[in-house]
Parts: sequence; C-alpha cells; structure tokens
Amino acid sequence: MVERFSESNRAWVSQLRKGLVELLVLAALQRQEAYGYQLLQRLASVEGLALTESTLYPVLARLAEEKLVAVRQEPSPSGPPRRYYRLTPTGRARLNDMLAHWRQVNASIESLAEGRTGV
Amino acid sequence: MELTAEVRARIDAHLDAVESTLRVAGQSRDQRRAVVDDLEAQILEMLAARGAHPTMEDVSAVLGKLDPPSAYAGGGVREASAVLPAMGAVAAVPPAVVPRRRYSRTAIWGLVCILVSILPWVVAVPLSYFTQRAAVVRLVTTPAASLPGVGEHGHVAGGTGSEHGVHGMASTMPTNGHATMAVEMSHHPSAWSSWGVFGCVGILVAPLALLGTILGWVAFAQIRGSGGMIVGTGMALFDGLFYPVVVLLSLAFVA
Repeated sequence: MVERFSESNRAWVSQLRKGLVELLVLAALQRQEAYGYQLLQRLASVEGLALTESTLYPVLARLAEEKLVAVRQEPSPSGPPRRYYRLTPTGRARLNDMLAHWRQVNASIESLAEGRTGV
Repeated sequence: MELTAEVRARIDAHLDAVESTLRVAGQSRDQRRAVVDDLEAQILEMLAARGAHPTMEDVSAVLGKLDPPSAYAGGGVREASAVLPAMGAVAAVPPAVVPRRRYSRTAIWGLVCILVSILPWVVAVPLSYFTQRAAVVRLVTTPAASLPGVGEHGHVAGGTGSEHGVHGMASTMPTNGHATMAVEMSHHPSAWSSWGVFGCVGILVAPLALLGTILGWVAFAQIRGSGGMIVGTGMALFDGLFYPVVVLLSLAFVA
C-alpha cells in the first residue's frame, strides 16, 4: 500500500478523492440517516474513505441546499441539537446515476488494464 | 456537560474563525450556519467523551484534532490530501491548504465611484473658464467722435473708458461716424455662473463621493477582518481618504 500511494501519486489520488466526495457522502447515507460527526465516523470505519470535517460539512450543507439530502434536528445529550441528514428521492436518484456511471467506468478500466478490450 | 465561560469562549472563537473563513469563501448564510452547527455538535460530543467538566486542556486537545479554520477556505471542494493518511499510504504531513486571496471588490467599487465623481470636474473646470472668457468680450458700436484716441481715419490706438467698467478696447474702421469695438469688461459677470456650475457639479457628484468614501472604509474593515484573505488596503484607504482630504485642503485654502 505504501508503495502504491507514493509521493508522485498523491496529486492523482487527491484529485480522484475530490471528485468522489459527493458520491461517498450520498452512498454513506443510502442505508441510514446520520448526523455530521456520525457520518465522519461511518466513513472513517471504511478503509480509504475517511474524510475530514472541513471537507464533509460544507459538502453536506451544499447537498442540503440542492435538496439532495433532507435535514431534521434532534436534541443531543452533549449539547446543541444534532442535524440528521437523510437522502431525498432526488438524492437517491442522483446516487443511483453516479453509482451506475462509477461501475461502468470501473469495469472499463479493469477491462482495459487486463487487456480484454480487443483493441 | 458543563462548560466554563473560558472553555465556551475558546470554542466560540474557533467556530467564529471557521464561519469567517466560509463567509470569505462565498458560502451562503444557511450553508455557514449548517457547517458551524455540525462542527459545534462534533466538538461538544468529542469533549463529552473526555468528561463532564472539560478543561481548557481538553478543548485544546479536541481542537488540535480538527482541521484549522483555514481548511474551510475551499468551501467543500478542499484538496483531499488530508484524507490520504487515512488510507495508510502516506506518512508525510499533508501540505497545508493555502487559502486563495482575492482583491477587495468593495474597494474596487469605491475607486470606481471616486473616479466617476471626478470626471464632471474635469469637464466643468475648463468649461467654466471658457464661458468666462466668452462672457467678457462684447461688441459695441458708438460714435467715433466720442472715443478717445480716434484719428481722422478712424483708427483707434487704444484707450480706457470708465463707463461700464471698460478697461480695454480695440476698434475697426469707423462707418458713418461710428466705430465698432470689442470691449473687455473689467468686472467679471461670469464669476457667479462659475460658482453655479461648480455648485451644480458638486451636488451631482456628492452622492458618488460619499458612496465611494463609505465603500472605502467598509472595504478597509473587511480587509482587516479577513485575516489576510482579502487584499487591497491601499486602494481602500485611498477611497476612504480622498474626499476627506480634498475637503480639508479646500477649507484650509478658503480660510
């Protein structure tokens, strides 16, 4: 793994991850709603998918503004109310489109790398 | 969980800095509020995990684990380098995100107002000068015999009359005993009209001048509060000081 993500690959990985943030957030909310910190922990529990709060929270705010996620507030024992995010039908449709495209690109890359394209 | 005033102030300072960075990055009020609420909930949950009475050391430890406020400058499209260590691949510290600086738009608009307010003066001053010159020259026809210095052939060598404040004249050939002459009036009938022109221009440009000055000081305050994210202090000061200095110099000149 250390060799795979050498210094020269960092820029490429950085760009790739930047483009995937929205997909990661929507996918993480697909099964169950979550509040911000909970979503951070949920993503961090999956290898290679950890985000930082300065990346996640602005994206959540933007997705909420675009009506891709809905927000509800619930009292928290530790302080201010928690904002729970869940997918809206529009957000679910966007996620399905993104996943379909991601799978297609992934399959094409695998096919290309294994020399199965026939070109 | 109970927070002391000192702890609360430390948390609020961090949240304010994040909110300020998001504002400079162009995030809407709703987005800023959402981000700050999420972040505050996270901080307090992390603090609660350290005990019911968090100390300043606890706050420093928690905030030390979080991204610095400058990391929010990207407004959700931040370089993802910070996630790379989580992939177990990069041991080096990720490069700090350098917030993008921008020139103060408020200062630029202030400068535009100042420049536009100067333009009418550029037109009015020469216009007033030529209007004055045109106003003092009149053609007068009068019996040649009444003119001093008129010779047999009606030539006027020059002279000065007292009536109507004439202080200089020239003549053409006399016709039927009359001479036509150009007279320059000694009093200045256009002086009041010049002040009128200046007054009108002043009234017209006063709102722009005031707006430019206000924008200059607003821009200066924004630049001071941006923590280096907005630049253009020189232009903002020029906007804010130009007309005050002009007014002060004018008062000093009149006095």
